[in-house]
Amino acid sequence: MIVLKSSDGETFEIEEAVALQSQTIAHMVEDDCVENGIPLANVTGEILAKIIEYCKKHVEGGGGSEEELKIWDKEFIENIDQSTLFNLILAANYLNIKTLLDLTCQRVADMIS
Amino acid sequence: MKNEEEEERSVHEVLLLVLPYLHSLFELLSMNRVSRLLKNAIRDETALWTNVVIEPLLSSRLTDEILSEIASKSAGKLKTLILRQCLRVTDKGLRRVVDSNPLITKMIVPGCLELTPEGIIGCVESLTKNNHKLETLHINGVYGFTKHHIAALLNYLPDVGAIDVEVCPKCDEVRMVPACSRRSCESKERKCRGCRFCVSRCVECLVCLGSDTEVQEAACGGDVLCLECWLVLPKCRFCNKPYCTSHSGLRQEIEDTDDAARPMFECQACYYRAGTNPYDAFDYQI
Repeated sequence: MIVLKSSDGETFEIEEAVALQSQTIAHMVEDDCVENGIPLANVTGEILAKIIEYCKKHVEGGGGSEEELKIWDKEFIENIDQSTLFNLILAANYLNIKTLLDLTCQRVADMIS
Repeated sequence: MKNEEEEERSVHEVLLLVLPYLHSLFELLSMNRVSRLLKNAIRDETALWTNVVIEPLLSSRLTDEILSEIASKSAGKLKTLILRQCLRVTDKGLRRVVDSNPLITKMIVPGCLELTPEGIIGCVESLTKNNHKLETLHINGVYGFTKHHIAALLNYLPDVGAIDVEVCPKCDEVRMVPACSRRSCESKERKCRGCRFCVSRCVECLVCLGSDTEVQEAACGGDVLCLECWLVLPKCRFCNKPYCTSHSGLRQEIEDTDDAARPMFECQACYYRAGTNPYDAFDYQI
């Protein structure tokens, strides 16, 4: 289990497989500096919760069919407000979670068209 | 709580991250006008110019000169070139881009009427030098292709589906031959392999409509639909024909005072006949 600490003091305990979807966290784990939990100064608790929700679903391909995962992603991305969306983009970039970054950025790009 | 400046900076950061996901050049150029920061980022980031997509909003304004300028922004690393209905781009202009961007893997030029088969074959030849492989070529809408041209192209792009058109097995013309969603049509030897003139298909789902299936007419002249697609589309309140989704803009919407009622529309034919008896023979003489 890995402990993540948000910028506003919330802690989240999650399975390693879930956390490793973030390349940033994966590197920290490799470098073995996760003893006392990982502080994420750039991510608030609210956003981190959303990110963990996404990562939990996407562990090992989501446990359902590709179609089902796409539908889940669509629901996920359509039910967040613009402010959360923007913060998710910044956090996904900082945490280096490519699939989440693709999903969120594409959403904004679609809104611009 | 973020102050104003911080917020502006993070919005900028987000927009910078979103730039590679924009749909076409039009959106990218619009972002140019948001701020100096974005303008500079767009100008300097060659990665943003490795996929060039020109769509009908800008297509009519794209000349060979401008295309060459745009293609040069990737410093020779252009990978995807999509030009939809760019009527002013000529063989010479396209060849110029291809010659200075040998890494192109996708060339999609539907409806670019000034291009010729010889010009395109020349580009494909140029791109297949030095072990490079062109992976995707879309030329539907470029006129003049014969089965000999396609045979030549297949040498350079042998993979199935790399080229969007093929020789129709029924009429020998070079056209798109769509896949069929009917379960009995999954094999390569299916009987419904043919272009849109040889094989009647539902315009929405592309399922083949044989002589034993019920064919529904759409309000957009000539288009036909399968029963399933017909059922879900909204229909004209007079003749009960639906428009297909790509022609749904032709609906003449009806002002409805009753909010609870379903919005209704008339098709163009019925709309223009308003005031005449729909059961009279239609008099085409005006």
